[in-house]
Amino acid sequence: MELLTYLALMGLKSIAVLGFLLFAASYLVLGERKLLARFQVRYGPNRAGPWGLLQPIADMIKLLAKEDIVPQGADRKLFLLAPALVATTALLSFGAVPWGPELVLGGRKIEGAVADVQVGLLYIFAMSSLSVYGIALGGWASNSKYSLLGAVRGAAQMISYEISLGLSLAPIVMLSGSFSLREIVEAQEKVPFGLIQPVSLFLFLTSALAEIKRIPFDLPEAENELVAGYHTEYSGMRFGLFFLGEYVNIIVLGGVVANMFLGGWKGPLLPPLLWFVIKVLAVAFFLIWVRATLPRLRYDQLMHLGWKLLLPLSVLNVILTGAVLAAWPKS
Amino acid sequence: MGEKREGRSRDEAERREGGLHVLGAIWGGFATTLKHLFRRPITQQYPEVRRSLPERARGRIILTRDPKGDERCVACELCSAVCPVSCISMQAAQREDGRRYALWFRINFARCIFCGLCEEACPTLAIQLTPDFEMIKADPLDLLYEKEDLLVDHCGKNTYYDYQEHCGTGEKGMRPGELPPVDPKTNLP
Amino acid sequence: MPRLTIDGQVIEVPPGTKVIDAAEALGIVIPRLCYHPALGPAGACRLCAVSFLDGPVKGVLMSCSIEARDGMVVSTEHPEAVSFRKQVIEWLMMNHPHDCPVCDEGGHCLLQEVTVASGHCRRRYPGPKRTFVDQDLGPFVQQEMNRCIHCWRCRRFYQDYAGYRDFGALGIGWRTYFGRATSGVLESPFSGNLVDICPTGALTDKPSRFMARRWDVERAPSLCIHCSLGCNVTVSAHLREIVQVEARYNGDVNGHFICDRGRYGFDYANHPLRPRSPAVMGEETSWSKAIAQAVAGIEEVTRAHGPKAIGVVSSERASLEAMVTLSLLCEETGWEGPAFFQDEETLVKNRLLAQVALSHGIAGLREVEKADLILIVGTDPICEAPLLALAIRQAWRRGAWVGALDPRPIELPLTFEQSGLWDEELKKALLKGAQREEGLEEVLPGWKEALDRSREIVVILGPTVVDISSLRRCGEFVSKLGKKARIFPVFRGPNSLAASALSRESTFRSLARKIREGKIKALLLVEADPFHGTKMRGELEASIRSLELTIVIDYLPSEVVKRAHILIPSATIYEGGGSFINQEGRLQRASPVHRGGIPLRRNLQGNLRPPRTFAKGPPGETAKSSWQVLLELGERIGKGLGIEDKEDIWKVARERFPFLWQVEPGGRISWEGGGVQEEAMEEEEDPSQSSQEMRVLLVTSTFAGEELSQYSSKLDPVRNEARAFFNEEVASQRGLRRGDRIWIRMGDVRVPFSVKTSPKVPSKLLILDPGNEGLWREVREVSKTIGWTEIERA
Repeated sequence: MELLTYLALMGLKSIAVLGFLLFAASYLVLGERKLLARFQVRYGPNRAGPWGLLQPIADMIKLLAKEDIVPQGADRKLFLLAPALVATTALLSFGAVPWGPELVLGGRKIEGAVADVQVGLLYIFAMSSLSVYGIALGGWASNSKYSLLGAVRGAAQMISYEISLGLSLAPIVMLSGSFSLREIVEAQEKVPFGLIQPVSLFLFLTSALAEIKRIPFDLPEAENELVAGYHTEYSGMRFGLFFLGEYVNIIVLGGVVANMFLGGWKGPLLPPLLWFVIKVLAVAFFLIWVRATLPRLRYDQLMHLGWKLLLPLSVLNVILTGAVLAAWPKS
Repeated sequence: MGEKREGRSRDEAERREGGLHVLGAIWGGFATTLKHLFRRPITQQYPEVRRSLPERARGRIILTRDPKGDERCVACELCSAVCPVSCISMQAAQREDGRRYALWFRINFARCIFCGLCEEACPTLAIQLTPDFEMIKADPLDLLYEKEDLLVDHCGKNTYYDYQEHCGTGEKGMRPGELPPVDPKTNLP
Repeated sequence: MPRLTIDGQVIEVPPGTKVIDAAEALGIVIPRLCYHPALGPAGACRLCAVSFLDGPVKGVLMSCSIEARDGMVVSTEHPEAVSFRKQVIEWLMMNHPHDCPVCDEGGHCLLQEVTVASGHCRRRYPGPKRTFVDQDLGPFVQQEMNRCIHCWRCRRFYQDYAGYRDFGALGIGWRTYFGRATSGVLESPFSGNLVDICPTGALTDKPSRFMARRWDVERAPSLCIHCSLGCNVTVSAHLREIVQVEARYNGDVNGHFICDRGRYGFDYANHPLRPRSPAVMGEETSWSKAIAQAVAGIEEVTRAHGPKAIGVVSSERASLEAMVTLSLLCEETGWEGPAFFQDEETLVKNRLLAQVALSHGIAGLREVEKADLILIVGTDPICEAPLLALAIRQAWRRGAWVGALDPRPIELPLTFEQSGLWDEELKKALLKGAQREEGLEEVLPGWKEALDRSREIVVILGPTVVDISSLRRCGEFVSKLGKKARIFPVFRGPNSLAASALSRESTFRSLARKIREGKIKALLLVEADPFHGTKMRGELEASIRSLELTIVIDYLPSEVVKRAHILIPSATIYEGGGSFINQEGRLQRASPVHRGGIPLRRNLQGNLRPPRTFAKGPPGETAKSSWQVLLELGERIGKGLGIEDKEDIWKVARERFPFLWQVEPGGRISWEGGGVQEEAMEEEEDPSQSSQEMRVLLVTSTFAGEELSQYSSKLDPVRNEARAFFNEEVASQRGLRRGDRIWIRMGDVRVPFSVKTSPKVPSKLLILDPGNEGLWREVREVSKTIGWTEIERA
């Protein structure tokens, strides 16, 4: 009975979160297009429904109705597997992101996350590293030079930035003394870590942008060189899955930043869940703003930035934090 | 020496590029984009708002008539020769009055890129581009414009030029700028 | 050998070379409008001016008129010369109308080219332009005199080179007019060359008028197959239709020119009735079905009567590829044939002619041009191989003596001796000639003197009029003349030489005999029409009708095509290309010009525009060459030849047929002739020589009678009516005068003829030229003699 209730609760939460993610991702697309348009003094999509609100539905119908093409000479199995891999890893990583405090309902504690994993942070890192397989396999299986180049770039970029991504969060872990995101949020009761560790925030945001391949780090799909990079040959819903993965990743990134640096669901007046959503959306807005502002880096600049700036900086940050923590041990 | 100096300056440029002042530039960029976010969009909502395009805008192609009301086209095939996408085809023929004209003239607008080279090449000012660009069709065959679809009842942008006045038909020696025909059977001066 | 420097490059040229040609040998093309290698310099256009910086002459001079001399230093790019040329163009353009858009020459106009090159674009002279009134010059040439720049090329070609007088220059100076005294059809059968040589649009091609611009046509080097000379041509096709044929320079064969038959005879390929899709029993069907039917039919006949019951007929117009494939197929299957010639006599004559010519040194058109004594035996050049007349004229212009032994009233654009001999008289004369060098003096006054001073002799010999023993006599006669004499054979078809080399004993007549005997039950006709030029129409029809199976592979809407059980269309030379061996044994190849299909213009069918439909390919199936069809047939009946493409054919052909050893396209075959069995041919009995009967000689004319050009509508306006040539005296005795209309009864048909008289026609001979066919097609048999009772006035 206990197990059944647990499973039912888990199922309900998973479905709710999944539904939210899909909904949010599709409207994030609309939001991004609208915001980008306004950044560029345009209107953006405004034809489908009032203010273009039905645009995501129209897009989805279009994607579903389009012909699903597998190019000649493609490695069929891998080609079909790759987009699923990208979307699944993105969706799975949100599972470990907590979005609210524990709730006590009928004497039963309900966690404000799909699964509050003890080493949540490591889990998220693992998932995001796995998604590189989707890109590499998709690019390789397409039997297209553009796809292959995009995939190679993607793999190189993700491996390079993985290190500073991990190191940039090390001070937070050191401060909170835990890998569990929930405990990290709890540790920010007084001051969000973003204020204590602005360098860490900057390092994480930059590396994470590179990790989810967004402008200015969208080299793997640089459309003016590589058509569409690793997903050049994809069409219809398979292309849609790549797209979905990308936007779910933005939400995951928003969730992680909110939890690690912005104090998670904590905030005055408003309910915790709303605070969490607001923070996630703020991060998403920032990413769109970045997209509207910054040009794409050149490949060598990308590598320079990663290895010569971010990596030393994050190592330095870890050492300094360690030194400070050693000098003034936590009371 | 020069090379060395150049090399050093390039290093400097690179250092500057990666230097701290980049942060300032980036901040400037963010500020600019943010400012634009609050500006009124300048987009004109097309189907509701229709701008009148300039006279020389390059849209649908027409075949104009000369001031006398006769078709200007002499089917010289220069437009089809210059067309980069080969969307113009025609057949020249001779009319009863000796005038060269297009028996059929066809423009495949499904292929046309509206570059305007045909208009530039046309020696009789017959082929002209108009500002009309609204010619969407569901069937590509409907974009195959025949001579009767192309031929209009006016002179287009030029209202005075008449190629036939100078060449082509007309009695020899009677057109402007011509001497009366030579009589080859006399040797008198 | 003068050595001169042109633009810093040194070249040594033979004495007499013009500077303009010396420069061209270096790859420097000096602009020119009036100079033409075949016509020589005129110095009329002043465009080829170059600077002579050093040497025997100095200053800006015309490079076309000055012979290269030692020590000349020439600059073509000297500012003085360039500005001179620029001014010349400006002068020329002063009177030239700005009507390039409506001019057919636009796009390949020499004047347009040099004007654009010189950068001249604005007429500075404000005065009025000179005009002329145009003439109608007939169906081939369109005149627009306003465009003329007075280069004199047309007159120099027409009067000097070709030797016709009805077109020339009138008036003087600024007002010179190139035309005829009055409007009218140009008399020369070479008038089409005016179009080729005119550097502007003053004389343009009328049949292709307004059809296509040069940049839109598909062009490829091809061959003319309207006679045995094998002139080189360039063919243009537009919208699946052949629109124009132009002369292509080949110094070994035709030089710069071709005749009008070759130029305007192409229209058979566009014929509205040309078979476009396979048909079984007159009903159109698919390729696979027709082939399957043919295979089934062949197998059935073979099963019932054996392979010898299948006869194979081809003709002298088939390509070498088709001939070779057919010969191999017959060997493989044991079919009867292939027969390339009408009857035994023709076969033997052709072989004999080839043998005689090849053993005595065969001559081509170039040798004719260089000869100083030309004897024409049994050939009417203008009718049988028109360009030969032009070559003879060039020799005559250089001082050659020309004589002719032929019963026909030959017309040539030169003065020559002719003796209207035929049959016994001809044999006698040739015998005398063979016995004594001066033996021909009796019939051809001046022969002896010409022979004495001659260094190179060419005897032009044709097999149509001359009989077998005369041919042989002619061979003896030529060997008597010695090494300086060569024979120029004139055959009937474009590939006659190959046909005689590949022929075995079968001829169409022998096959027909076997059909009557019931030994042959099926006939495969490959690009052959036995009805063409036959004298035995009735007999032929009966034999064809008695066949169980007639398979015809052809591209002409010929009479046998209409009677075919199974018809498989084949590609013309324009679609399939092909190799041909011309009269001097030169192997030449034609490239395919276009893919073929039903011409758009024909497809319009009254509509004013092309159809508005999507289609995967052009309408009208792309025909396969006959050899491809034959290979497919062979494959399907289990007698594959292991041949896949043209190269395979060549490989096999070289192995199997010795006369093709070591021959490359453009070269001459190495063959001694042979295979003539003298006993095989018994000379036919001379029909009874009653004084009332005249023997009949059937001939053809330039534009009527040749098989392919017969189907060309472009030649319709110049085809002559049926003509009957009488001896002048005989005719006047009977009260017939030149131009009278008569009826000649042949069987139960009365055929109309126009009377022509000539003192050269032997009195016992009636020469009939069926001309434009017509009623002729209903004559069931042409008798060997015709009496006066069968001739009546109309």
